[in-house]
Amino acid sequence: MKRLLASLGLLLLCAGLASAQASDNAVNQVAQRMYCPVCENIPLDECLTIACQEWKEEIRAQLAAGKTEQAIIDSFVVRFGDHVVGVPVDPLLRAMTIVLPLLATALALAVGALTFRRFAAGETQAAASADHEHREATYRQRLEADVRARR
Amino acid sequence: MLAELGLAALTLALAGALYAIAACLYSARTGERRWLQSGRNAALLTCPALLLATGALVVALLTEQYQLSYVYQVTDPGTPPLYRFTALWGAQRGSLLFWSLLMSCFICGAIGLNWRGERRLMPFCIPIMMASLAFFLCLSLFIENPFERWWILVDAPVEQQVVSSALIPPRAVPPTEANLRAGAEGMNPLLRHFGMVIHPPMLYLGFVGFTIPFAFALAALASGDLSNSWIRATRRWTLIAWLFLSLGLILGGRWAYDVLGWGGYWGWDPVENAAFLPWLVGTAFIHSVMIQEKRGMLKLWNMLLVIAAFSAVMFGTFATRSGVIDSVHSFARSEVGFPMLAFWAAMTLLALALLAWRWRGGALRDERQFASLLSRESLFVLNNVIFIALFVAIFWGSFGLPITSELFLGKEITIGAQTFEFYVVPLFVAMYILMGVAPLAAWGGMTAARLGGMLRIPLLLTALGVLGLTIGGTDLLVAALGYGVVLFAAIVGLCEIMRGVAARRRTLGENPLRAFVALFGRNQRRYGGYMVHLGVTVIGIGVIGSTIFQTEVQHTLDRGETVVIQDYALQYEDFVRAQAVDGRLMHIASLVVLRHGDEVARIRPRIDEYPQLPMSIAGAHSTLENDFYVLLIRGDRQRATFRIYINPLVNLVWWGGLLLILGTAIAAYPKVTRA
Amino acid sequence: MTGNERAIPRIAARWGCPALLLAVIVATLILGAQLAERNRGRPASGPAPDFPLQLFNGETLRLSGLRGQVVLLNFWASWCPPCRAEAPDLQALHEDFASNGLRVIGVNMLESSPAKAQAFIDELGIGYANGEDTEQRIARLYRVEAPPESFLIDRRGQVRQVYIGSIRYDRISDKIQSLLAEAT
Repeated sequence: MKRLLASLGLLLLCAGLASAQASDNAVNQVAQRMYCPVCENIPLDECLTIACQEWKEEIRAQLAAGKTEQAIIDSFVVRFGDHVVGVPVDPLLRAMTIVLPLLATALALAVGALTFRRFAAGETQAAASADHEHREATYRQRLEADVRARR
Repeated sequence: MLAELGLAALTLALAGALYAIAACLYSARTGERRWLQSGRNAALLTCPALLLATGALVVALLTEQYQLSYVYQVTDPGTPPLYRFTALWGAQRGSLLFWSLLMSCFICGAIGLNWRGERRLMPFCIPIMMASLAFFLCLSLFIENPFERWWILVDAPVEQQVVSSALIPPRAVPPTEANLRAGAEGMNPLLRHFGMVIHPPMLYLGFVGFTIPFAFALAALASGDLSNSWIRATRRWTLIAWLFLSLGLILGGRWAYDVLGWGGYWGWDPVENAAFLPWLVGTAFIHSVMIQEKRGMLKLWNMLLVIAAFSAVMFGTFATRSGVIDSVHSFARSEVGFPMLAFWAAMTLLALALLAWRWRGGALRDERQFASLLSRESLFVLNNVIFIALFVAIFWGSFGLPITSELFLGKEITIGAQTFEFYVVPLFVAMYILMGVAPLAAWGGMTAARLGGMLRIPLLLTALGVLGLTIGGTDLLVAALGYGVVLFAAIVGLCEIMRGVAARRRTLGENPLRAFVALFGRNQRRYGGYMVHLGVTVIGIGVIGSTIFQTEVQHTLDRGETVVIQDYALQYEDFVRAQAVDGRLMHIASLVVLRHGDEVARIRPRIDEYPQLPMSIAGAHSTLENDFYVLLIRGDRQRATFRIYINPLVNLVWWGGLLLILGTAIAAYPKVTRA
Repeated sequence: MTGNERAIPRIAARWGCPALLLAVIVATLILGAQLAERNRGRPASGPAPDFPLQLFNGETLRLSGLRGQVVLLNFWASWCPPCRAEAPDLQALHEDFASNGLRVIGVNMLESSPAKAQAFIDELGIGYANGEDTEQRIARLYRVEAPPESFLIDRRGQVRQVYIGSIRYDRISDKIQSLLAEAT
């Protein structure tokens, strides 16, 4: 029983150590979702500047303090603003990020659909004139080729 | 001496371009042939003149003429010869000159090849091309002059003594050679890579290439000759520009993968996106132009696309070179911003105004209406919808939203990969499905039953493929579906080629290889196009594999220690510090890669220390199945920390790229057989 | 050219091109404004942009409230070695000239946690006012690229000198004295 307790204690200690020393992987996991504070558009986990190293250490410390990934990111956003994350937190900006492209896609589809709606009934007529135009086009091409050859 | 030569040649090129504009426009007014020929000759002259100017700069770079402030800026005595040469496009001023040279080469090619066939368009086509060229030459001469030299003004107060000027200021002496050599700044470390040797030229070729279709389209609008003649000229030039742009994008991805040290090839960075936008429009045009050729429809739309492609190129150039956005790829802030913005706006407005004018006149009415929903043309329209939606979404994310937010809400924001993936992935899925269905649909219309019948075999094969993957261990539903969609497009492409080969064998009795070659030779555009489709599907498989199944871990190892990651093992063997010829300090780790217990490679990831920032160069063991890719994070002889990636199927991205390039080249290659 | 005037909706036909032209013009104006904003350099002279700064001791300070005094505005971060190097000089300037009307203001930027800033202040015995620049608002106003950067502002609230990199007591004290000698 004693030994069991001792080993359990050891296990707990290990667990405690692990949480006090958040692993590099855990830090990267958070850093991947953030962006470098100084150089724009470089993800935090890939950035090698001193400021980024500092931030990663802060993430490690906050992880060790038992904070969740989201809580850590939120704390950075509060202090540094929306540009440290890849998706804006500000509700208006977030809506604009997501809604506008969707709107644009819907609009493009609508224009496409309108084009389809206008598939006129005049298919046969179109086909007839198509044939005529086709002949005309071939004739014109031949003519142009002849003119070119004579130059 | 070199500087004077370069300046003179640059001025000559500008004079030639301006003269060509005037002469051709005059001939357009009067119809006098002589003036057109004279204008053409002046336009052709820009190419040798720019070759001379660029040559002068290259010689100055190679022979270390540090009095030229450009040479001083981008090289130092430690720069190896190859990078001395590539320094030509290493910074704003040189790359602008290089850009002009490439543009004038393209223009000469276009004039030379289309002079006979498209003579009627030339009086307008040449001035438009020359106006673009003249604009960039003005930038080179008056704002970002690569031939500026350092001078010391003897009489000036101490802090104003050193000036950089193209012309020799009064009472000025050159600085001493020793001072110049000691002060030279050297190249940006990010650019010292083989990828940088070819990636920018290819991208520039792609960019400037879109000038030609634009010029033909505008010439057609201006002259009123809106028959299919401009389409003929434009189609091939668009394909050529698209070819180089694709090559530039692929090489750029490769450069990022090797040098930027993040285990990926596409970061949705605004500058990458700026190069991707014209590609998207170009792709839309390449498809929809076929509708105009075959059915005489979408004339207005095609015009719009050609204009949009050029406009996107100019916008991208502006965005990259002005500092309006920040990114790893962008050039330092510069004075060229406002002129470029003005040029972009002027050209786009001019084009749209011409378009509006001709549209009102009724010259762009379609000759025919869509006949059926299930026809190839309507699927092509859908294809255009997808590409335009992609264009709008990516433009909005990279430029629209960040700029709006900064300017009107006072908030700087970052739009990251997550956001882009959110709306780009569904659109790409739709694109692959369409890529599978469209080649089977007939022009003019067909019944659903017939299309369904044609789809049966590819769908069956796809289902078998997905089943095989699932049995083979792909347990993620998303991945299986993704592979399925891409596989479907690939199978359709393959089936079409096989059908062509089979038909030739049946009717002409050729052997398979001969039939295959003849098939591509006879119908370059169709089968080249299928090959491009196949390339895109191979890329798709690579992208799915390397993003969904990427493994990424960080480990700290003691010397001699081994860590096991999947079926690989990595042993930390040694650590050395070394100094490179150019003076940078390198920290190099030696590692042994084992697979299933056998040594398969030794890799040496390293960190290069530069004054501005350290750079992490990956070590990789590459197989078709996956890349074992290791970055050194920090370390010393005793312990070191590594970031280890396993990127499955990443090499398919490059192989698919190769296939895409090959297919495009086949499609764009001038027809061998004469009709 | 058979009659298919309705191939494109009438609204699009009539307004499509004007709408596109308008869009390009609006885009040009917006981009121009953005470019002008991005190209705006550090305020090297002229009125110093006003800002509120929440100090570490809880008070809020406004630059405009310091009119009549000479202000040395210093941007710093605890992780930046040159900032550490200049801190004793700044403290000495604060001690020597505070009574004559010099206010040294420390703006802490890009700090990973306020605790680190406080530790830095305690360790180096800094006595002048210090606060955190949340969301980098002040740094953006002054176009600070990287710490340390300092701005010397005269009694009338005009920027008189910009220092990029570490401040050195002996290099700046003459300038401060001459500014202190000016009338308000």
